[in-house]
Amino acid sequence: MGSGLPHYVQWGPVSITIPNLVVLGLMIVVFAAALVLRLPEEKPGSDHARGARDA
Amino acid sequence: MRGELASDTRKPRMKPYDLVREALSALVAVVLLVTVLAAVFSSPDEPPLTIRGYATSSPVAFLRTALGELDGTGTIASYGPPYNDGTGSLQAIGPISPQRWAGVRIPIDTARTFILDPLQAVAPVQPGVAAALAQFTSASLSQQAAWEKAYGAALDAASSPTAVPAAPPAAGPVGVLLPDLLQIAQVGGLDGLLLASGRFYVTDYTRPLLFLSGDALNTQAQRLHLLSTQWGMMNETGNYPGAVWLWLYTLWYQVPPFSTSSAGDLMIMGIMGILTLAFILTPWIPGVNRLPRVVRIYRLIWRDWYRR
Amino acid sequence: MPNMTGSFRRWLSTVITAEELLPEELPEYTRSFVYMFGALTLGSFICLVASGFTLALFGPEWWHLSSVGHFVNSIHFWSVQCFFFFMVLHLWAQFFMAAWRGGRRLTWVVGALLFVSSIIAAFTGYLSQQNLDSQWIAVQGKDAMNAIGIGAFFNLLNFGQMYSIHIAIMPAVIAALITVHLILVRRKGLVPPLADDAAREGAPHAR
Repeated sequence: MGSGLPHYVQWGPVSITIPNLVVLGLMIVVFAAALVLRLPEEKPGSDHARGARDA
Repeated sequence: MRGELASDTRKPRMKPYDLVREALSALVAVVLLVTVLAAVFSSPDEPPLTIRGYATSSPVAFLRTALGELDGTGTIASYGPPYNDGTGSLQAIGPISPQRWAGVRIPIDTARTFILDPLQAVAPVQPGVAAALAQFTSASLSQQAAWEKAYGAALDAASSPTAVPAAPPAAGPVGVLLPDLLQIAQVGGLDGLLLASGRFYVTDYTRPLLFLSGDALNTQAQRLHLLSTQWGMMNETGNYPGAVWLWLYTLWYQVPPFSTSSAGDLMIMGIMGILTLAFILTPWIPGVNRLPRVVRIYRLIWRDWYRR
Repeated sequence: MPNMTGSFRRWLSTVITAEELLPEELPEYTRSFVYMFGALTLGSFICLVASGFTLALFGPEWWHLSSVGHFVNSIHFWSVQCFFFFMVLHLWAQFFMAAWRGGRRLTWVVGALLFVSSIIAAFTGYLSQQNLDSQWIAVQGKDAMNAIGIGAFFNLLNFGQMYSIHIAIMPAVIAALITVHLILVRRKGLVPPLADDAAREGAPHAR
């Protein structure tokens, strides 16, 4: 990365710079990961688990 | 409420949660992230273009720009509101033209502002300018046009972008004034003269930027892939991510009729105004407000809940 | 005549209670990473304000002349990227959850206004950089502003105007909108999951 002339890709009317493409790709990857990955399970006996109760 | 997606009515169990800890963790994560990104990738800072730089590197193009602003054919000379009464950049869809309605608010007579006034200012110290100015301004419009045409023909015959052709006798005072303006510009004088407003402090760069807005900045922008037809509004100088969030706005500039219409900006701003309003009012828009049910990503987010 | 101070205090106490604002329990269905994007957007905003304060303290030329200044600018630049990155992911998540349900439409509206305000803030920021990028965006963007008749009132070529909008007006607007957004989120609580199947649509839902 840095100064100098930009690198870009072109498909028909679509022209996008590589850094913008990377950002777009990362957005999709991070969003998908947030959907699929699970938050670490609470350990049984921890404060969190003990505090859980029916509302 | 009618038309609204139904919510699950089962009472959720509550679990302990620490909002402040979450907010602080997010802050620490972002601080680390931006510090690393800043340290590794730095940030873009392409130096600004000056009129001096333009006049030095592209003297023939500078003279052609100056001639256009003098004879009234230049981009800004013929622009229209808010600068003048031209129609070159006046946008209208039928009778709808907010640009015309707003009127001339920043009056700029380019011949006077960009060319004659700066020359007038240096006339006392630049031999020959006062006489040429007097000859030019007292001549008839048709005589001025004839001089300008002769000088334009000489510029068109220039052998290279840096070889300034000698002014032909038929160019009259224009053949004195424009080469003088070039000299002034090449030492940085025009940058200052266009900015000067009779006040000491200046924070408004309208005039020098308008002078550079044609060929000078376009050439740089094309090189850096920043033109609107190159999806440039999304792009940053160099190899840095730009305003990716402007993708939809930028998209319209690539497709007809917007890319070819002289009222393209007005059409696109109209469309984006409507789309922005629709975005703000999403919860009330039939169809769009039921899309989440169709896409079913919510099943993934709340999968534990539905499994229960 | 009613006591305005008393009326104001009573109104203020109905805005949100401390328990609503800072609960120590959340519904079990909030166990997903997508709930982090809002906090990450807020974190990015804090980075933006902190780096922006530093840049403003030393003036608009500083970062071109000092390597420390350039580094602070780099932090500001990447904070903008993170801010929009996480804000858009937050927006996607809220959309796919139809998070405007159950009297939460205003929360969506304020969030959407935040997105629009952020675009104006970023735009005026680009115009305040004092480099080739600013020059180009000014002369390029002026045509759209002129076309809709506001080019002389919101003059992209007037550095002083763009700079003051960027460093004073937009941060205040965004901070105010964030405050309202957070109060609305906390007052209404997190949106419950959608009803399990289409057959249950139209059933009464929690308010």
